[in-house]
Amino acid sequence: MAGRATLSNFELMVLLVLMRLGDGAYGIPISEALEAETGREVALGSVYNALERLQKKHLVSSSLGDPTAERGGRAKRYFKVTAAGMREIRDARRVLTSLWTKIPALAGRKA
Amino acid sequence: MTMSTPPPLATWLLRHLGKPNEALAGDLLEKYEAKRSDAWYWRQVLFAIAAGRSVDALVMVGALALLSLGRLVPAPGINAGQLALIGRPSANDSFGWYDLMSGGNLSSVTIFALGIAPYVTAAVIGLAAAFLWTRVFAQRPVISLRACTWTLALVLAALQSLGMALFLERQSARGLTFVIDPGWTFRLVLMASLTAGTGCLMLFSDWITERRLGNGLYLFFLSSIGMAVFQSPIPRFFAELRAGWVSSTQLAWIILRLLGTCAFVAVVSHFYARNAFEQKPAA
Repeated sequence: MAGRATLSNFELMVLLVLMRLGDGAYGIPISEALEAETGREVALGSVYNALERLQKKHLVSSSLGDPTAERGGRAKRYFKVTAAGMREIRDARRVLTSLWTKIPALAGRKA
Repeated sequence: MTMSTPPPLATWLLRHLGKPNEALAGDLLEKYEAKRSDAWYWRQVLFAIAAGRSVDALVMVGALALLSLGRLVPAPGINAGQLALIGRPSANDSFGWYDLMSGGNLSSVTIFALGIAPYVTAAVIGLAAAFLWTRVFAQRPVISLRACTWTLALVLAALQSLGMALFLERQSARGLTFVIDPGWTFRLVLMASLTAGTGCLMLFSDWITERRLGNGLYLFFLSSIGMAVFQSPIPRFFAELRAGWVSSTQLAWIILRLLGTCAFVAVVSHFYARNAFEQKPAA
């Protein structure tokens, strides 16, 4: 397992949201999707922190869009899951599902 | 459509204290436009600053703690017990002045005896040379200011420590010398350790400036002065004042010189950080 990236719960959620949003994933839609799922306010700063960590682990890549007036002339940064990120998501799912099904009290129940 | 403006103070704090992130600043502005409140903007900004800087701030506190510990480490080859026997320099003479600038490390001959001073001197020379080059050749210098300043600072530190080694070899008190085993081995070891000590301060100073935690050069200069408040130079100076060894005119001169030096180093540090660390667009 040496060299494998370890994912926090929040990072895994961000990766899954990125996959769902596809090409239009930048800070605001990502935080809104997370807010909708968790029912809590999600700080944009924490989203960017998680994205930065994921980029350092090479699980996410980013590119700059065009600057717009409504953003004070600042560009949007779009994020995308990399091939390594996809592998990490599949692996996390396999491990979590395996752990989940081994708890009889929870097996078969909806999360 | 008129654009609403988020609280200017919050935006200013994000720009100056937050980790540089144009995309985040743009996102906050865009979402604020979508009928978000000032309270929401403030919350987001404060969280962004705290989240972006928490690790850096912790590392900086750790670095300063390490440096404080390093101040307790005497330079190799020095008879520390013998040093304690002699009287400390007066704040009113030039040795006492340099001791004050080094936070008391010079008279204690610790590994940080030279402090950050060689880097400040090198920055002054580097900035002046870059200015002259630009004036004479009408183009930016071919060597980077930072590389030039670093090289010069290390050379200055090595020369100053050699001078200090030669000075210490000649000193004695009650028939005992300060240096355990005088000679070239001692001189080279002292040069290596004091230059490494200053190099270490320079590395941390650059790290702080690069991470935009503040101006590293000025922070280290001020912390050396601050250390002098708690270590020997400043308490000793007040003892001299009480004993009547220092007149009020001399006191006024020392305070004026100290304020002038702080202002000068502030200006040098500002221009050095602006010219050596900030990215410039390609010509």
